[in-house]
Amino acid sequence: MIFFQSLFSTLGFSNAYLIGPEGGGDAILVDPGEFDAVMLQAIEGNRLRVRWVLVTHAHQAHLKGIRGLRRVYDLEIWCNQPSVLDSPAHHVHEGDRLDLGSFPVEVLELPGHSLDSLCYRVGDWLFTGDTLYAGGIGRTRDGYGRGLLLEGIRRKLLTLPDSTLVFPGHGPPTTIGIERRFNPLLDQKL
Amino acid sequence: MAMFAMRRCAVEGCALAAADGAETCLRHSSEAARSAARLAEALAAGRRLADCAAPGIELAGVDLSGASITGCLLAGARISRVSFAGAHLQLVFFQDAVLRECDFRSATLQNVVLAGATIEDCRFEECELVQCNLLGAAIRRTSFDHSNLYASRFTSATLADVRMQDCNLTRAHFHNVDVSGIDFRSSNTAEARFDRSGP
Repeated sequence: MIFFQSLFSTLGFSNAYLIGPEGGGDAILVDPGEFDAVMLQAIEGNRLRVRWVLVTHAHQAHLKGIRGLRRVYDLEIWCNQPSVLDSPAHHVHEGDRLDLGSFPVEVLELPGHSLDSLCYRVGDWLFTGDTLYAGGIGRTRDGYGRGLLLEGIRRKLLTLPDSTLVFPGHGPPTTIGIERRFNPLLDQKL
Repeated sequence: MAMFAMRRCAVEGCALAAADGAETCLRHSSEAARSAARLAEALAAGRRLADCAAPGIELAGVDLSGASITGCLLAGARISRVSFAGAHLQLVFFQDAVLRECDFRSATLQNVVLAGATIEDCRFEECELVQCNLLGAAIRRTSFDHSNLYASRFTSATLADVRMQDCNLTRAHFHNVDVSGIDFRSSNTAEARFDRSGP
């Protein structure tokens, strides 16, 4: 059994996700935009220890909580642009596979919203950061970035099974099948 | 909270997941009626359901008021005349479900997925319907009056004869939606998003 909790931050209106073994143990935290009492209660109240942090991209709304978390937990941090973090982090690339406890994690690079944007796939769950949202895609600076993002989504995400659960950095959860059918921005031409 | 495990229905061409303890979804199971009765009984008795996969389940005329339903997969469910009044639903996946004459008054729905669902003659009044996914839903003759729809997304949905009076629409999305059939009186539509740009 797997423990899973979605945690909302009012600082950047962003989602963090806590994943660990049901009953307690080492846990993964995706995109901790804030470290507050609610998150601490979710971790400690379920006898979890945050050991691994997965950062989808180096924007404050998705990593600002790391500083506080490091005061409490001994973290290993994974991202695509370690140099911009103020904490030591591992550099991950397209196709990397991480074995984090009992959770195998696959890394997908999807630049467009930012150059360092990643998605993490954990079994049938996909953590998309600001790449793909329910009914939307991430903001981009220009048409080149938008084209890059759309091309990456079509090639790497829309080829996943429809039942894949998508947990974005902002907004509600969704699935690949739902986005394929109802996301109007994915119909746009490159 | 625990989350359901995802396995696909063994019937070729079926888009639903398999139900707990079965090889198929409940639409393709000979045990469907018994499973639905068991689930309804469990909910009615303990008022709690978590970590459950019952796609395609059919529930009719059940009182689930005040129940707690978390981390469940109920995609493709057929739910009619069920009371969820005052219930708490979190991370529940109802995509492509059919909900008719259901009562969600004063319920809390957080991170609930109702995308592609058919929702008819339902009451979501005085609800906390926060950060829910209603993409592509077909919603008819349904009231959301006096509800908090914060960050919920109705993108590409079809809404006819829908009331959203006195609602909090902050960060709610209505991209690609014909809103002419929605009664928004006394709601803060200026805080909602109606354009087609990205979030």
